[in-house]
Amino acid sequence: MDGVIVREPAAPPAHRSGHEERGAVLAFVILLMLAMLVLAHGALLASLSELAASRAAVRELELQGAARWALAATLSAPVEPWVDSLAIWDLHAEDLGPIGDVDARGELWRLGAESWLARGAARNAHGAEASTAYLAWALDPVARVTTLAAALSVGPTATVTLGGVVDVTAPTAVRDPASPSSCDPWLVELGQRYATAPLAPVGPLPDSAAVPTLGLLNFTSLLDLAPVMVSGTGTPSPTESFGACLVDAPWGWGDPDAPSEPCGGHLPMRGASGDLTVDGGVGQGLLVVEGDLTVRNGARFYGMAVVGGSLALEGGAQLEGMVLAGGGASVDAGATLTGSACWAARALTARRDILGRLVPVVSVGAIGPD
Amino acid sequence: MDRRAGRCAGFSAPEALVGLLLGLFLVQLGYGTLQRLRATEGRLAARTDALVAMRVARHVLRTELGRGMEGEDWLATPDSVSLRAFRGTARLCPRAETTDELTVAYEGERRPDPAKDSLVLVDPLGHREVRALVGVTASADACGANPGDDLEVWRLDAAVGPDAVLARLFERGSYHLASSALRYRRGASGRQPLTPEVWSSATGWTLTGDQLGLHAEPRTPDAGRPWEAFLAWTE
Repeated sequence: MDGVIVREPAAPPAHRSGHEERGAVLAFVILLMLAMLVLAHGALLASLSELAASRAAVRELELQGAARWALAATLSAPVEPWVDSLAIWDLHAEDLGPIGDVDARGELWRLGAESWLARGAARNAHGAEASTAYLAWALDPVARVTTLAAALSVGPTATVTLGGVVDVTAPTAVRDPASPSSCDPWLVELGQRYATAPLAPVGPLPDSAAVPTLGLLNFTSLLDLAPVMVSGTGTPSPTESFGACLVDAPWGWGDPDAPSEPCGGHLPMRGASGDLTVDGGVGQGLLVVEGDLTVRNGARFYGMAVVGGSLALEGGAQLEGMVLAGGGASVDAGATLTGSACWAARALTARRDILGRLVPVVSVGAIGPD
Repeated sequence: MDRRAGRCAGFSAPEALVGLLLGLFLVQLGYGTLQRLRATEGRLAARTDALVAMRVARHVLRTELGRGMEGEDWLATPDSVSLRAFRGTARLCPRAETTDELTVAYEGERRPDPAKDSLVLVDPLGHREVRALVGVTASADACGANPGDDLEVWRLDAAVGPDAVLARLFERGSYHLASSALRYRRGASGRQPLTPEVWSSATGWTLTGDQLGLHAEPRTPDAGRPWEAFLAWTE
């Protein structure tokens, strides 16, 4: 037994060789795995950096979208009471709430009487920020009235025939039937304006335009803003029902003769997409007429008339306020046009909710930083 | 003993052959996998570079062009887009007189530099005037009720009326698609690359109807397909 054990052959060479092969293969496999690991790691890093870049791009887009939304919300906001009390160079800011993970904020800097810098800003939880801004314009009644150099402003080639009276001696006077206090909010500003440059009877439209505009509100926009349209011929008169003024009655143009009555404080805005004839009656407010406006038969109107065509005052008609008429005007004998900045300011102020909204000044473009 | 030894020798030959074949197979498999991995990583890197280039180009150009109006502030030609590159905005303190010194509150990407900057002055209705910025000094005056405003006095090359409410600071520059990248040139200086150099010579501006776009074609097909981007309206 011992001899057998002693003579037991050593492991065969093939077997030894197999051990060596397995060792080589193992080393090769390990090297291969390492190489693949390095490459895979590189690919993973590239993918991760791409993922991070994509996430950053998405966050950036979210921020920009939120900032633009905030700007749009700020520009489209209704006219608020604080507008008049905000001093020039003051800021009004409002948190508009979260949009997803982004907090949005709207800001309005007052740059001038009618000029605003509207900005939408957004900030996310990581502290990243984006903002975009626009120069905006909003009608200010007094500023708009004081840009008019004349009681009757006409287009550059328009004809004006004055057979009646155009009285511009007291543009800030408060006459009957207006209440004595009706012009108080603007009296100082208007007084300063006309102390330095008296109101002229007839002058050119602002910027020598052929068609009347109110600042950045062009004629078409003005007509579109009119909440109630009228047409043809009519006689305005106060329209009341059960002690309340019917403000939507097309020919119910307020009650200037009785300021304390239900329709006394109603100064409507009326539009006409063609010619319009006011045949007698009385009214107040803002008229926007695309064609010709004829006021006749003793009709009286107080406020502002914006006329694309021409204005004709005839048959003892009276108009107190200011007129912009692209096609010219005729004031016949017996008719009167009384220049009144007070009535014009009243008419524009009464429709501030419609006319005073912010309009982006698109010719300037977006203002950074974005 | 002989029988056993012969059996051992006979066993080693097929075993070696199989081992060799298996080894070769493993080498082939490993080499193929490595090659594929390397190619994939290369494609991934090229694609990443192309995406970066596209994102940067789109972001930079849309931002820059969106701040101005075609014709007035920027102009596209077949080989470049030259523009007023707006770098900041200043609110102007109200004044009653025509003056060449403005008190302003400035906010922007960088400080104003009279050596290279000019101004577009805007009135409430959007009318513009252009002036050169001649000097900048700190202001001791206050304007408005915001104590947070850092005020400066900007001196201009010519007087400006009281109507302007806003000043936009700009430098003259141009964007080029050259040498496989988007490049920016300020004034007459050299063109600096803003993106990785990944685009082929087929990359260029597209002026179609009322819009300006960018057609970007990667230099290698691995980097992905050609890419079209809207940049700005031209009307």
